[in-house]
Amino acid sequence: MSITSLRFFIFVILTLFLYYITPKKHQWKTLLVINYVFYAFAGIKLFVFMLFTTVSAYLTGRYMDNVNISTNEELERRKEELSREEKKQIRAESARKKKVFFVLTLVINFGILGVFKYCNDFISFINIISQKFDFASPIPHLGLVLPLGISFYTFQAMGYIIDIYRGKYSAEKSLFKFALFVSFFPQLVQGPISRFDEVASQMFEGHKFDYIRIKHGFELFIWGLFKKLVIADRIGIIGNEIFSNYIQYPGLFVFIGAFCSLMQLYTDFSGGVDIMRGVAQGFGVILPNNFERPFFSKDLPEYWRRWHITLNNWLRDYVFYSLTFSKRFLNWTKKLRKVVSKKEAKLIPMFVAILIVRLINATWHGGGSQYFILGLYHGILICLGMQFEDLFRKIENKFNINTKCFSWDLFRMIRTFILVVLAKIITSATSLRTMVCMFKSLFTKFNPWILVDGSVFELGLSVQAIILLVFALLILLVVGILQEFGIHLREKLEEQNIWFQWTVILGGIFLVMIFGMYGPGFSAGEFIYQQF
Amino acid sequence: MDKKALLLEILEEVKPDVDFEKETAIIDDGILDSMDVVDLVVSISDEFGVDIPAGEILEENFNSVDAMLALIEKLD
Amino acid sequence: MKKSQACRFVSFLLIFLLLFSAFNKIFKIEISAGFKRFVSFYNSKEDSIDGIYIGSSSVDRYWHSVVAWRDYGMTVHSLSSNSQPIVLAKYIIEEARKTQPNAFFVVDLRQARKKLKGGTTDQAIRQVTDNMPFSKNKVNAVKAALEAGGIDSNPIEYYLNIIKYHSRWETGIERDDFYNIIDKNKGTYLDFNAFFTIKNKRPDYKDDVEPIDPETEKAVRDLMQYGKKEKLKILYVISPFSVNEDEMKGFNYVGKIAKDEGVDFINFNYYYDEIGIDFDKDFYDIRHVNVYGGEKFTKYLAKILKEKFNPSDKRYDIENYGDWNEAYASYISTNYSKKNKEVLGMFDELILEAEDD
Repeated sequence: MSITSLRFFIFVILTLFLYYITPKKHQWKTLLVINYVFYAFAGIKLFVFMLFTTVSAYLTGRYMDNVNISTNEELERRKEELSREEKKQIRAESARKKKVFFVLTLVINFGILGVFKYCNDFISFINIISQKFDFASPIPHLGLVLPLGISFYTFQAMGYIIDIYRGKYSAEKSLFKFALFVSFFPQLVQGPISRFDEVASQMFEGHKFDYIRIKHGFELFIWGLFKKLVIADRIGIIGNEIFSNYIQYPGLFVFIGAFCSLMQLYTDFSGGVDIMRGVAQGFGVILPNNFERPFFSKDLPEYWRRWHITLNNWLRDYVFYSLTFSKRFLNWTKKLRKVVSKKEAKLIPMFVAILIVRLINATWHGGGSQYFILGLYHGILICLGMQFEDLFRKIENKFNINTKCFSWDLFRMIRTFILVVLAKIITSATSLRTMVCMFKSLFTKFNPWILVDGSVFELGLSVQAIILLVFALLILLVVGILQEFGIHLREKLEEQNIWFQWTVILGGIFLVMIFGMYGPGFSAGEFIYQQF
Repeated sequence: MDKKALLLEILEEVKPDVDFEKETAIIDDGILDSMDVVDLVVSISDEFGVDIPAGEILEENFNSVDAMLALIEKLD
Repeated sequence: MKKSQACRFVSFLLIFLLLFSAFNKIFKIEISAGFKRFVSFYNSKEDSIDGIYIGSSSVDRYWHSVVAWRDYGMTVHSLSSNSQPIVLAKYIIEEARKTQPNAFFVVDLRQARKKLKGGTTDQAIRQVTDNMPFSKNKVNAVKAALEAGGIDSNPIEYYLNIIKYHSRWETGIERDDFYNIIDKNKGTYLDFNAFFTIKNKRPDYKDDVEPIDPETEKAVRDLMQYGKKEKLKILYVISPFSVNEDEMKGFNYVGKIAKDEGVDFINFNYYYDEIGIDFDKDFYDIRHVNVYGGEKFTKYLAKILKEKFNPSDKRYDIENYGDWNEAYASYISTNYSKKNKEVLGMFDELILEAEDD
């Protein structure tokens, strides 16, 4: 069921109604049923995988929680009599007990995810090798359909058990409530990946019908539809045109194509997330935002704090910190101290961790070599930035550059934006070789006149459509700027007179209805992230 | 040197020009990003000889100087 | 929910519905002659129309309603559109009866030779249904047309035009889309091409019979039985043109069906001389008469209608039927200006393609 369809909208209205007529105490049960009904629409056959993840994470969580509780009890009871060494021993024993099931659950669940996501890429890889050494005939790709939301709910459930392992909070006692957390339908299509302690209470508590909350959820819903239907599907046409026919589009066209592709990805993804966050808000659950105006970032690390935030935070908390605070990495730092400076000794392990995280992030989006290169691209750039931080500072001082003014920030934003647009070429190119060609073309062919000679109107969109896009992107920019200044738009809107509010809301609805790319005669672009 | 002074010295090295004693939302407000946190934790681990497990990297433990000192105390 | 919030919400909903229906009216199928014809009908006063002439372009090229008005004071309006699927005739009749309960009907059955499945287009359906105000009849009409035509569209698109046509903001919305454009000619087709002449062959046919497509036959019989059940005054016709042998066989078969069902049926292809059709002068393409042929046909059919249904003479009722007088005046001036040689000269070079019915 496409989330931009009328069917979905009616589904939301009906389920909201059902939810609010249920007495508050039992609302979470209604929500659980609603989640599974939604999943049934999407593909009931693959439901068994989510069920497996739910049950395995629940059981492992309960088991580890019990271990934690008894360990803490013991430590508390014998606090005075135990030495530091003995306390360490008890903790180590506790970790050992938890480790078996912990690792098993992680491996199986991530393994399932890995097989679904990467088996075809793996097969391609094998085929390339066997072709080179000519020892076997190519293996056909498996036509595996991914269970809905597997990337998202797997990460979410695994984050939960990692938190339990670390003793961050106690496990959920009710299997059904836990199932609600894993299967919460607004998160299934494109995330965000939530933390148990952030959303559980919201999901399990009952909510009284709050007109304002539903209204704000609806406004966010319309905003998401606007981004997806008016901007994303339309601007994607230019991106597709240029990347599919790259030979006809040399030089600056490559940049334009990458820009359009990037904007498509952004509005598609953030639009979908907004639609679902709006729906979730209707049910009284505030889901974390996945995007915080990423194109206002002043450097790449900041970009990754603003783009696909929940995945990045997940990787930071569960991969990056796990690596950098592991005994191995800390010892490595100590060893390096003997060879290089103190600063370098700290940096080098961090670089490795950063590269690993960037590579995971990139390959989460796709298993081919191009995604691998994307990970390297970002990882290397970030590491270089950190490595030469002092050098940059020296240069800025030498040339008396004022680094505390808006113009410098603007320069940094533009520089970061360009780097990100260039990165899009890596993944949008149809093959590795094409990617290299396009980069070469971009940097060797000089044709800035295409911006003014009308070529932009021959990329698959009419003049009217381009004007509409410019207008829509301007709206996006203005909203972004307002949000950068900390203005909460929906709350601000609530303070205005009803006529103004109605104009904005009705304006939004009809903008989507008239200018949205939907209906017969359009092949509505499937959400890009739905295949995850 | 007492613990607080040592901690402040480490913080100064990680991110200069910030008056950490005044701050109460060091993580929440993004004054230290994830790289800075790694830097800080590695240094604390070094200087104070404590092992900070990844599970203790929580906002509440690093949002203020006092919180950090309490954590160091707890793990000692 | 507080009372004030409930009030606000309801008001918001009302404004939304108002705006929505307005946009729904603007974003519909491009205006066509058939479209305007229907609008003209809906604008007529209640119980002021004597008869409705239903069918495809084989109707409006042939029936000059204001000529019948001039000669007999009868108000017979065409509700025809290009390639009108025969299955829709019943629903048009239903629609007409809502405001004109005493009207008689003339139904052209030329489309009976067309296969409904594959021969029914979305455009053809919409030229009839997009004008209908939402009602049970509209739902039934759309359902029947989609089913008969074997079209796999969602019926919702036919009630909410905006779903299909919102992209017209880009492909072309005109001033006319914002208004209801009325056909001033009470249904008569008076575009430029109707003023041309080509030479046609006078057909030579036999009385042979060949069955038509069974689905279509079902629809025709259904229509005829419906007319009998409702005790409606209906005359079934086939308008005259340069028919070929196969077509005639089909029309003869339709005549058989009519006899079988016990309804009135006239195949005008048997009456070329009585009507006075001149195959050298009266057609603009193989299937359609031009304005000269149309006038002749109207005179002939009007006489039959007068004898059969005896509609009253309303020529002197200026108060209620002044608009028909105006329509006639407009007809005369259009005819005059278009028959003007200089204007025609501009178009002598045009090669006109034969139109579908």
